[in-house]
Amino acid sequence: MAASPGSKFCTGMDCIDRIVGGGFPVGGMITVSGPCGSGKTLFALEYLIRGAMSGQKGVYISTVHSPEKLTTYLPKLDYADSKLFESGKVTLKHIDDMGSGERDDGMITKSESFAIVEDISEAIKEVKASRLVLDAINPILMEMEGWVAHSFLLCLSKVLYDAKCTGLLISEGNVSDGQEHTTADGIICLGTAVRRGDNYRVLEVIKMSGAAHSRAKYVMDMTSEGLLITPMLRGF
Amino acid sequence: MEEAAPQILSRLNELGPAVSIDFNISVEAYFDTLTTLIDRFCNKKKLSCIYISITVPSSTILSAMQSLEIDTSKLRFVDCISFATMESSATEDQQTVFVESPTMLEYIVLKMEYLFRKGRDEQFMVVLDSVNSLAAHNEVRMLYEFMQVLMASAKSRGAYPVLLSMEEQMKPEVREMLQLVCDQIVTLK
Repeated sequence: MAASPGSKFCTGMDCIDRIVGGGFPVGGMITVSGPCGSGKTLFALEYLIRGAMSGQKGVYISTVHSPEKLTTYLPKLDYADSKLFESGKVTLKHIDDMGSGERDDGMITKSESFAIVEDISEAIKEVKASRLVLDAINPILMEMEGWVAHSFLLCLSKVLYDAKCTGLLISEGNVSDGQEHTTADGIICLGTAVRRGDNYRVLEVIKMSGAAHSRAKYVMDMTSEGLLITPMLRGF
Repeated sequence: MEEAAPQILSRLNELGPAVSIDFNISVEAYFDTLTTLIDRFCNKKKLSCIYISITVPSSTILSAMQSLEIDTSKLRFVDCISFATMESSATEDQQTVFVESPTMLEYIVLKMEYLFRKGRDEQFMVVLDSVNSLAAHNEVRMLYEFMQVLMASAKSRGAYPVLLSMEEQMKPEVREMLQLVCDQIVTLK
């Protein structure tokens, strides 16, 4: 049975499915935010790879690295089939190939923002993608006036919903800033925590629409077997 | 003192997997206990062993086992001490994963989970060596919470969870904590 917008689907990342209340909303737009080196890109790639391995095609749009560089620096992932990229189950694209490149005084115009969304929509339709990653959203939004950025995000959210394609918007920085979080259906925050001088990589689900998600803070480890998490100890 | 091996083997065989046991041993029985667990129990039963080393670096234990010609092919280490002493290998080895400090308890759980996933078709014994060393680095309340998570995780995988504690170094609050988290405490005499 085809998934309908609003229903949930398992991401295939066991630990994430458990803490977000069963999976991500179909056609939803989820932000994954965190500082540099917090594991956002690996999180996003695992999301696409797990999907591809269960028959859901994915599109990865980079706004930073070229697809070639991304695959070169990809660490060894024991859970991934190395041919997923060559076979087209995961398509890698760069944002420079979308839209016309039109700028007004260095800023992306409203019509150009719609052109970018239109090209993203085409990329989804072309491969019948169920999963999309836009890594990272900040460089695009930085080139837009606030009202254009808001309109761009709303339009992207609608495209994803209509295509029943669940998108991850990778966001650099804190969840308290960035308007991508306002329009998101879910927010996952990656970061670091310090306890007695030790640094921990942590993950929290801040929001997941329509789900009774966990509110705990988890320590995470990005391994060759995928993302692993365990509740952060409190010591009472 | 009686030999440790027969007591350890009989208890493990009697209780089976998914039952957490603390073997409270004397310092003299330490090496005998290790060889019994790794060789006479795990190797004989074809179990893989996740050895969480807090006291002695994994390389030392591995060398000792290999010098006795004990098969170490199914032995995996979560080494929590070598990184702190800068003795960890610069290159990854298949048998050992490192935790930067014995205070980073959550990473011990995550590394164990990682090794479970890597050997998803294998049955495991999980050995924590030792509770006293871990207690020297962590508050007992934190340790209690950690032990509960570690034991529950090992049990849910059908593993044999084994803790080692040193009789001579046992603080009363650690003993009390062990009574709460272990199904069995066996004092080897």
